[in-house]
Formats: sequence, structure tokens, C-alpha cells
Amino acid sequence: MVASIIILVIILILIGWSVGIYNKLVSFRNRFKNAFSQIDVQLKRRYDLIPNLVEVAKNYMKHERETLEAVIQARNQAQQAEQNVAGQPENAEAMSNLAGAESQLSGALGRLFALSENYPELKANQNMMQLSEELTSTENKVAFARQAFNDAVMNYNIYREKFPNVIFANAFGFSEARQFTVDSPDEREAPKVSF
Amino acid sequence: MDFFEAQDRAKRNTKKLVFYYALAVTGIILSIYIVTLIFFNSQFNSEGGMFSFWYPGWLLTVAVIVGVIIASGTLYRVSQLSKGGSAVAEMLGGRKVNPSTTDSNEQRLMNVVEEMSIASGISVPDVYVLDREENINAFAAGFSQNDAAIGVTRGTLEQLNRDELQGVIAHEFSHIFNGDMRFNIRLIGVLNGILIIHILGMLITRSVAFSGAGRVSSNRNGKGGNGAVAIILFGISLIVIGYIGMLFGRMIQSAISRQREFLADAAAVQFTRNPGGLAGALNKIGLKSNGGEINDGHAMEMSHLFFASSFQSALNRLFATHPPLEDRIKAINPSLADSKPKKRFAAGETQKEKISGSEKKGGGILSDHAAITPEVILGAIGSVGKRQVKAASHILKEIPPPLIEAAHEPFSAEALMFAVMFEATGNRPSDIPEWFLEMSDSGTVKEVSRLMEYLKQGNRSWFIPLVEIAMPSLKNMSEVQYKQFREGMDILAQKTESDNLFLFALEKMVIHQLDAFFTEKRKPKIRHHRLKPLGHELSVLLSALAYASGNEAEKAFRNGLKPIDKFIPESMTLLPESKCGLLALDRALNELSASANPVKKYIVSAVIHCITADKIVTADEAELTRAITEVLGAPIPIGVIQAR
Repeated sequence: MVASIIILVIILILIGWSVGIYNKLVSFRNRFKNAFSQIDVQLKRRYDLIPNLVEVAKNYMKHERETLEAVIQARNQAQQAEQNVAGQPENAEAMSNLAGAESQLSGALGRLFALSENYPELKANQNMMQLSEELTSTENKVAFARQAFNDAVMNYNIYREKFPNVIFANAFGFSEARQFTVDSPDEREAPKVSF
Repeated sequence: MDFFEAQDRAKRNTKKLVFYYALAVTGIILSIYIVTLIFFNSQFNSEGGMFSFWYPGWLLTVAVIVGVIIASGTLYRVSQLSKGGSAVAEMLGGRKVNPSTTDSNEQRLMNVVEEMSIASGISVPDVYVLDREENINAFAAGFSQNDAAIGVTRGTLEQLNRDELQGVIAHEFSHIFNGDMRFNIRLIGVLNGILIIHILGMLITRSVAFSGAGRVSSNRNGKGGNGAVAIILFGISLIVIGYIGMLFGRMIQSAISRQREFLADAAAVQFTRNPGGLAGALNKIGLKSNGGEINDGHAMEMSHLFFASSFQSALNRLFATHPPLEDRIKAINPSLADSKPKKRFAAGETQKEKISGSEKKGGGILSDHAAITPEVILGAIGSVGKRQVKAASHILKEIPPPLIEAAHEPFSAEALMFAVMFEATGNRPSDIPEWFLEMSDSGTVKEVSRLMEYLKQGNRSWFIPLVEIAMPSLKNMSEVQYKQFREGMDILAQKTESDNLFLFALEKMVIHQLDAFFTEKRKPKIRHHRLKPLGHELSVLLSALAYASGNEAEKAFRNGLKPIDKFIPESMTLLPESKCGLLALDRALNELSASANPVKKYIVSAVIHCITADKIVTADEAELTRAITEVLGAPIPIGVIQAR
């Protein structure tokens, strides 16, 4: 009798313990999901800015069609990747796709800005100045939000990998989340524009 | 009843709750004891003697086991929820609204919440949307106004107009000021502890019924089978006992909750002076067949958290956590209902009645012509009037949109805080200091100088609202980012000139709340229950204020002592200016913030008497008072202390 009650209490403690781990995992995951929504808003704003920028640049950079098209294409791809991630930032594959697409986009933008150095009239254009200014500030916001997101993902992953949490995590379907890293060197520093 | 009394009343209610809780636990222990005796009597009466009900050893065993189980259930839930309002909101499936949202419904919600926060003088709480819930409902949760979260369902967002939404949000704010949230979390814990017995019974019955059922028949007839049956019956008894316990728990929940809902409604009307809005929201809930029902699994145990009943029970009258909608509408706006208005809760024209009525809170809302006396200011703490809401909405419109946008986004919110601080240094033309250029990257510096350009166009009345709006965004920083931010603030504090009380006040406001958030020390420990040991801290505080108030420092200091001189026998004197510098003031404030509510009330009263001594409240005094009351957790609504 007493033995069975002791067993019962032990079972109860074990259940409580695993529920605790589960809740902790959920709260860590919520934290990085929230952090991603911060990136998301800025990425969207960036995707909205880029076509305008290309539109203005088109008028001056008549011979750089390829570069301009590459930017638009990279932007569309990145937008697609972002839409795939938006609902589920915990999906590692979607996240790495987004990171890849963002690297591409940054590269393409970098080339555009490098070429624009050859067009002094474009550099002097009021619209262009304003747009690139806005783009730079958005990049800064993205970079900041991304750092917060990556920190949150790291905390989640560390907690997830601890023993015995990892057993529960796998059982409950908490897979390893991926950081949002953009490897292009241009992107690390927001595209430098010196108008 | 003022702010401090309301908070204390919430505490007294907690005591009541503990009493009922003890009663319920005792009842459960006794019932289980008796049940075990009945089902397992063979083990106790093996000598074949008389059936007895008295086995002290066994009673003790049952008491300990059941006690531990219930207590662990309660403590587990309370610790889970003590992470603040966000934990509760996320448990209910809430999604944090991004302050820079582009969704127009969410923007409207943020605007209403920001308006109400600025009006009442607290930082903007985290706002959550329950995406899966289509009915109209809302809740407020958290331990204090610093970690509060407000949540609304998607239905609320989509179906209410702005006035109605404002009524609902005002209702939730009054829960924050009434100290209801802390109490609510404890109540959830208590219910969870009792619920565990019920769940345990289900577990036992199921596990034995499934694993044991096959074995019973094949058993060497007799004992084993009987044992299994006994255990099943025991499990069923646990289910029943747990259920009865839950019924009692619900009765406690509903009895306490219903009364508070009326209070919050009355306060909401007082905040907005627009009974139509709140009544309209209630009416819309009433028109829906399933009212404010919440589908989430936690809806029942958290029912008392919500704006309207979140679940429907057959025994509605007995277990309803909320008064019937019609009664609430009638109470708010008698003209909307057919039957006779209930005077007790009538709103609007019976403002005076409310102040004198024993159940009403927030006596001294400033009417347009009220003289600014210390009593009026004290009464206004933790309350809002239409005038404040208007002033808040005016300020929000006056501040250039780029600044508001910046406050909604972590990166620029951080930059904005520095921009505000640099503007507050008082140097004209203000400039970004050398040390900041060294420690931050070019993007941040650029952002800071951009924002400073906008700040130069305005005046300092923008600064505190901007800090309040920026708070949710700043909480989105990671720990690493906060460390860097904090480093900058520390350097700033060191470089602050000792007479710049405004800058000190702003810094204190920012750091105080964010530190509490990032170090996860949500519940301030109360160390002081009496004023007497705080003599030194009080002299530092009052001296600093006295010097800020102008030429007649001695007079201001004496005036500040008036409300507290009964409690401080030692003769306190105005300290020399060197002894009440920013460092000393900072230390004194931290110590004072660890006092109990009745003590805080006297501290705040002394502060207010001190600054109003010369009938002239300088801008420095006003801002400093704002920061002090913020640290003490007693928010003063906007414009109540008007700098002239």
C-alpha cells in the first residue's frame, strides 16, 4: 500500500518534471519566434523598398540591365523564402533557405551600389539618396533584430541539447532551430553608400 | 479608496483565499482518509476487531502525501506564471503584437493601449492577440505594472469599434492598478493544486483499468481482483473528491472575481468617461450566442482573468466568475437598460457618489478646475480621467511620426533612448558625446543623430511618453544586447552632472524597469514595513527634491516632513547638497522601493508635499517625481503635476 503510494508520488514527480521541461522548451521557442517577427517586419519593408530603388536607378544605369535584373530576381527569391519562414521560424530548412536568399540579395545589392559609383548623376538624385538612406537604416534594424533572434535561438538550442532535456525535446518534436546568418561579407556591414 | 489601499485590499483578499484554500485542503485530506479506510479496511482491521475510524498514523501519512501533492501543484503553477504577464499570455496561446505592426487592427489596438499607458503614467505593457479565439474577450496578467501583459482575442480586434475597444482596455488597466493581477495568478495556482487530485484519480482509474483489467480475470481468484477493484473505486473516489474540491475552488474564484469585475467596470467608465464604449462592448458580447467563450484548454482555470465569462457552466449563477452581462450594462449605463438603474454602480453623473462609496477606487480624478493640492495628486495615483486620456492622445499626435516609429522598433528604440538622454543633458546645442562615438557602430550613431534632430523640434514633455512607448521594443533586445545598452547607460550615469535631475530621472525610469525584466527579478522583495528605519533615505530624497524646488529648500523640506513627522521621531534635517547627490539619491531610492504599500503611501505623500510647498512645480520637480513614483510602483497620471 505504502509502496504503491510512493511509486505513485514518484510517477507524479516525473510527470511534473517532464511537463516543466516541455513548458520551458515552449517558452524558449516562443521567445525566438517573437524575435523573428521583429526581423520579419523589417525584411518586408526592405523588399518593398528595393523595386523603387531599382526603378530610379534604371533611368540612369541604362547599360547595367543585368545587374538590375539580378537585384530584382534576388529580391523576389528572398521574399519567397521569407514567406516560407514567416509562420515557422523553427523550421531549420526554411531558415537556411532564407539565409541563402538573403546572402544572394545582399551580394546583388552590393554590386549595384558599387556600379552606381560610376554614375554621378544617379548619386546626386534626391530620390536615390533618400531610398538608399532608408535601405541602410532598414539593414541596420535587420542586423540588430537578427542578433537578438540568433541569441534567442542559441539559448533555445543550448537548453534543448542538455541532458535529459534532449530526450524530451525529441519526443515532443522540438527540433534544433537554425540561426539566421548571412555569410556575405557585404551584408555584415550594411551596403556602404557614400553619396 | 486610493491606489495604495486598493493594492492592500488585494492582499487582504489573498489572505481570505489562503484561508479557503486551507479549508479545502483539510476537507480533501479528511475525505481521502475516510475513503482509504473504507476501501482498504482489511489491512487496518486484520485483527478482526471493531471497524474503527481512528488511525492517527495513517491520517498523518494521508495528510502529508495529499498535502505535498496539492502544494506541488499549486507551487508549480505559480512559479510557472510568476515569470510575468507574458507567461500567462503565451500559455493561453497569445501572440505578441509587434509594435511596428502594419496590420491596421493591431495598430489601432497599440494606439489605444499606448494612449492609456501614457495617460496613467505607466510603461506600455506587452500586448498579445489570441489568434485562435473568435469571440470577444480580453485579459490582463502580470505581477506588477512593470511586467503586465494585456491580451485580446481576434474577435475583439475585429468586431469592436475604437470606443468599445478603449472601454475594454480601460477595464483591463484598472485590473492592473487594483493589484488584481497578482491575486489572480495565486488563484490560478490554488485551483491547479486542487485540480491535481482530480487528475490523479483519473490517472489511477485509467492505468489500473487498462493494465489491470486483463489480469483480474486470470488472477488466482480473490485477493488480486478485489485489490484492483478497490483501487479503481479508490481512483473514482479521488475523481469525485477532486471534483467537489474544484467546485469549492470555483465558488471561491467566482465570489471574489464577480465583485472585482464590477469595480473594474466602474473604473473603466471613470477612465474614459464614456459609458457607451464599455456598454457597447458588453452588448456585443451578449449578442453572440456563445458570449465571450475561449476555446483554449486553460480557459476554465483562468476564467477570472478575462473581461467576460470565458466558459459557460450549467450552474451559471453559482459558478460564474463574472456578473451577468445585463447587470454589468445596467450598472454602467442605466439609460441603456429598461429596468431601474442600480445606483450603487451608476457611472458618469454620480462621480461624487463613487468617491464616497466604500467600494469605489480612485477618488480624486482631476476635474478641470481642481486645485492642485497634495491630496488631489495622491488620489489620482493609479487612475485616469478623460482629461488625461485626451492629453495623452494629444501628445501622441504632436510627437513627429519618425520618433514614434523609432520607439516601436528595437534598434531605433535603443538609439532613441540615447538621443533622449543626450537631449536631456541640457547642453545647447546638444551633441553626441565622445565616449558614445567610441563605443558604438556607425549605424547607431547615425540613427541617434537623426532622432536628435527631431527631438530638437519639440520639448521635454515628449521624453517620458517616448520612454514609455519604447519599453516593449527595448524588451525585445537579447541579453547580450541589453548588456551593451546598459554599459552605455552606466557611462552616461557617471557623466551626468549632479544638478541634472531630469536626466537622472529618465535614466532611472529606463534602467529600473529593464533591469527587472532582464534579470528576471520580477517580484520586489519587501524589506521595510515601517518608516522609521528609512530616516536617512527619506532625508536624502527630500533634500534632493527640496534643492530642485528652488530657493526655499528649507521650507520645502519641512513641508515634505509634514505628513510623516508622526512616524519619524528623530529630528531630520535638510542635508547639505553634497550629501544628496545623484549617487546617494539612487541608493536611497532603491532602498525605499523595497517598502510595503502603507509605507510607500507616506513616502509618496512626503514627496508630493515637498514639491508643492512653494506652489510652483518646476519641470525638474515634475519629472523627478514621475521617476520616483515609477520606481516606487505608484504611477501618477500625465499632467496631474503640471510644470508651470
